[in-house]
Parts: sequence; C-alpha cells; structure tokens
Amino acid sequence: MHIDARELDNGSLIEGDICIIGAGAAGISIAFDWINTSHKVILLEGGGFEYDDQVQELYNGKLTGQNYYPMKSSRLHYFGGSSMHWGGMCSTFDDIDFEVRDWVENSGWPIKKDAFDAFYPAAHNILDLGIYEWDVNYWMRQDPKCIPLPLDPKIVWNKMWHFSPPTRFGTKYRDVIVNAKNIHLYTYANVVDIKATDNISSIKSVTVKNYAGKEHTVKAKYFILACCAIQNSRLLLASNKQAPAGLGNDNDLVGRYFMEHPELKTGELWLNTSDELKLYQFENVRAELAIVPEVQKELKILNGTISLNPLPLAQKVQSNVRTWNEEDPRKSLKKNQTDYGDAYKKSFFQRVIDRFSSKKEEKIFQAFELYTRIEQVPNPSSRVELSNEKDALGVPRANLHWAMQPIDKYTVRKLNELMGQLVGAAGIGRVKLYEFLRDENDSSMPDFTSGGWHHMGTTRMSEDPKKGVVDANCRMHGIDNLYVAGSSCFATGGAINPTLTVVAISLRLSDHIKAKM
Amino acid sequence: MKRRTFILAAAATAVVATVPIVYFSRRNRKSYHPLVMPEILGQFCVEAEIRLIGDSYRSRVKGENDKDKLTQLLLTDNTGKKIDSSDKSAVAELLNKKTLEEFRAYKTIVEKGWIITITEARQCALFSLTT
Repeated sequence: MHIDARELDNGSLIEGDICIIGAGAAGISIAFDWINTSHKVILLEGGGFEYDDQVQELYNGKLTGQNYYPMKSSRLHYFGGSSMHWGGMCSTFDDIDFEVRDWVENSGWPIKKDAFDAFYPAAHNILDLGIYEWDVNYWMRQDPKCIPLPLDPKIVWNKMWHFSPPTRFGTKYRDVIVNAKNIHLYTYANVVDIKATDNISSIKSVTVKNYAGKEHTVKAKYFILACCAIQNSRLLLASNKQAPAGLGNDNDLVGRYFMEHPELKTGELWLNTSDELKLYQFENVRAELAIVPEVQKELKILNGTISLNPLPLAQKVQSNVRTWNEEDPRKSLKKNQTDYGDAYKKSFFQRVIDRFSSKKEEKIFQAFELYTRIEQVPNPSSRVELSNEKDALGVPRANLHWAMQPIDKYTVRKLNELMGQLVGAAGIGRVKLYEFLRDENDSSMPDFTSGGWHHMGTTRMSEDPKKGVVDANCRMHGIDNLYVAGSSCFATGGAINPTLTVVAISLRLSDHIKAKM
Repeated sequence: MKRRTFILAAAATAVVATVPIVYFSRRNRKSYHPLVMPEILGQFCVEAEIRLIGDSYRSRVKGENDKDKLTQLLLTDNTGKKIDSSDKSAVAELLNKKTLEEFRAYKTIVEKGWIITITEARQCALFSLTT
C-alpha cells in the first residue's frame, strides 16, 4: 500500500518489522523480496513518484578534488531512485575483485564471489537481462559474426556485459509494491535522523520529515539503509546526537573510501583490415577486453576493461563529465543524450566525406576508440563529509571529495600499453595512446575523466571494525539491527557497472534478515 | 524529362564522378622502400606523421641519429647476418619478422603515442633522414 507522508497527521508513529530507507534499486529489490510474507515492511522514500526539484535539491552539496558531476544531478531522489536515469549496463564481479591483493592497498572483502553467485540470477531477472549466460563462447555460437580479437588468451579475456532495457524500478515495480498488502510505501518521507538506544547498540527509530512541515517517527525491528553511498554515509554522519562522530563511526570510516569507476577515452585501435568487431559493439550483450588475474598481479595493476567504439562516432562524443554538468539532472541527461545523438549524425556525414579524402581518413573505417574503465584503489582520502550548511529539512549537506592515487593512472596506462603490444604481436594493427597517457611521470588523471555515476565504498565491508563499517552480512559493526544495502558496502569496486551487484547484495542481505526473522 | 529518366541519368553521373575520385584518393601515396616505411604502421600514418615519429626517436636515441647506423641496424638480423638492401622483398620480410618478434618480446616503445617496436621506430627515423 502507499501512503503520502505529507497527508499524515503531524507526529505520526509508523511501526513495522523492517524499515527500508530508500526506494531505489536496492530498497525496492528488498521490498519485492518480502511481498506476501507475514512481515510488515515499511519502505520510506524521500520523494514521490515523479521528479520533484524541491526534493532533489536536498541532494545538493559541494565538490572538491577530481572533477565530477554536480552532487544534485548525479543521482535521483524519487521512487525508483537513480534507476530512473541509468544506462542499463551490467556485468558481474570477478573472483580477483574479492581477494586481498598485496599490490592494491585496502583490497579484500570478507566474502568471495560465490556469496553473490547465488543471488546474481535473481538480480539478473529483476533487471530484465535475458538469458543468464556470461560465457563468450555461448554468445559466439549465437552469432557467427561475433568473433573475438585474436589476442593472447593468456593475457586477455573477453568479459561479457548484458544490457538492461534499462529497467526503471519506479515504473516497472510501482504497482507491485503499491498493491502488496504487507509493503507499506511512504513517499515524501525523508529520513533526517536515526535514533539509537542509550548504549548505541541498536536503533530505536528514525525521524522522517517533508516540505509539508510534517515530522513522523518510524519504529521497526530491523532498519536497512538503502539510499545510495553518498546519502547512506550522510545520514550516519548526521545522526550525531548520541555519537558525536556519527553512528557507526567510532573508527572514522563512515564516508571514507568513496569510489567511482574512472572511465575515459584512452587511445585508438587501428586494424589492418576493416572489421565490424560486432562482439564488442552495443547490442543486447557485448564483450570488453579484460586482463587475466595473473597478469594483473604481475603488472601490479587494478582490474579494468577496455571497450571498443567506432572512431568516427567516438571522436564526436564528449566526455560525460563535460556534458553532465547541470544541477538539474533532467537538463544534464538531455545534454548528455543530445551529445550522443549529434555525434551519431555528425559521424554519418563524416564517413561520407572521409570516403573521398586522404589515406588516413579512409582508414577511419578500420579504427576504434579505446575506452577504458577501471576500479579505483580504495582511498580513505576520497570521501563524503558533512557540510556546515544544512538543507531545507535541517540535515547537514554532504560534500564530496573524489580523489585518486597514482596506481589508478598507472593502471590506465598499463592496460592500454599492453593492448598495443598484444595487437602488434597478433599482427592485426597498431594502437595509439592519447596525449595524457604518454608521460610516464604524470600520475594525475585528466579533468575529462568521467565516472559512471557509480557511488561506492562509503560504508565498506570488513570483518574488522577498524577497517570497515559493516560486516560480511552488511550489518553495521556494533549496532545489532542496522544494515546497509547497496554499493556503499563494496570494499572494492571491480571494473563493472555496479547495478547488478547492488541488487544481488541487497537480495543477499534480504535473505540474511529473513533467516534472522 | 521523365522522372525515371532523370533518376537514371543522375545515378549514372554520380557513378562516373565518384569512381575516379575514389580511385585516385586511394593511390595518392608514394611507394617507399621498406627500409623507410613500416608496413603496418605505414597504413595508418601519413608521411608527416611517420616523419614526426622518426624525429622523435632520433632526438631521444642520439646514438642512432645517423643514416648509415640506422641502415646497418635495420638490415642486420638476430644472428648478426646482414642482408642486401637492394632486395626489397627480403628487406620487407626481415623487418616484418623483426617487428613481430619484438612485439612478442614486449620490446616496444611509445613514439608520438604509437605503440611500436624499435625496428619500426628506426624505419621512421630513417624516413625522416632520407625523404
């Protein structure tokens, strides 16, 4: 059922078994998992069913460090959350992403990939990803034109991606959530404070507010924070009446280790003969070039992948961080989409013109742009902090400082150099690096480095409370009934877009709480 | 003129005009001795870019900033045997073999962004000295 919290009497008390804070991909996936159970689930959403600029404004904040998308527009604050503007790219973590890697500072999860393997198929289904098949050989059999580049398989492998339509949780799952008798969805219910017991060993209630001036209290046996990595940490830090440093922040970890997936244009692949490279192009699935774990270890690099985009098109697309620069997410999205649309049109005319021009431009039909995406090393200096300024509901705003380290740039360079060596060794062409990668002594990432709008790591997972905010079950260390869902629990980010794993980790958490109930 | 006749005439004109343009644009590159033009890299770079790569290599590797030295290095195989530069196909075969071996041994450098072998860099260097 659905209740608009603006319509409730001021000071209402809402009670349930489980309180999920945030109705994005993580929160809705969990709520979905509890439909038709005997438990009363409270699902709190700060916004309504449509975009509301006043609510979105609550996400505003300041940026420092690496150039990034405006705080207000890099996620969405209404039912469905950021799934309402995501692109749909999905893949799974690799085994190596969970390992302690001595060359990657702060790496290692307390769980292995098999902890997610049981939940990936269900997450796959929720995201409408079609057949659950990640083996490149399967997709090659489906289409004989899907042929991998003949690069040394001891070094490179083809990592598969699936593309969601993309599933808009706010549209697709609205009716099923609203019609579920045991799911109580409250819109315009912004959590502004989390209250713990006197010894701060469990959560008693949360306080919600809205622009209608209403303030309500929500009590439950279990609370799940599911409002994205920035907002999760902001709420914990802002809930500081009982714990001055913020809830669960005894070890000064909440908000730290903010991670993104640095992604950028890195070079050009020129092939001896024209090739569609269909396996690597946008369809329902595609492959990206990834490096085997043994070579990552040998080169001491992070995990990363390279995708291949036809050069005539790619050259005309701007960096996302340059087009997604409006405070209003709708305007940013439009600019971003217009940029891609214009690029497509320009590339068509350019191809026609190039046919009649010089030798090099003819070869543009044989050229692909290398687009590199990496995990970033978990970095405590990359963090969400509270601002001195408060939003309209009285909560300190979140400021973001996105920071990278030399290994990030080193990885981008090494991946592309390696690709150049392998392409040469295969005798199929040559690779040209873009300018910013040519100086080996420059460890800075260029200001056109984009992120994937992937916010991760601010309540990272570790069995050691001195190293992580949540344990292997996503429970806050020291607080027995407070859990965190989604990518803020990621200890490392992998080199993949996180939505599939966000849903998987949320279903895993849901399963854990079911067992406890 | 009837519509059908006009379309056919226009199409014929387009073909007549287009074929020579395409034909000549594909043949606008001189043929070079393999000593001064890397076979694969040469497909992707215009002469000016090959020259820049060569200039860059020569400015970094001062000991090879010499036509005779570069020629000697390029014409000598892994066993120390030197081949005759007048046999173009033998030269091309040797240089392609050396290039592939260097790639497979990760003996590569980055010049003007291109990830190339030392042999290719030397070919470009010789190009920049001799053309």
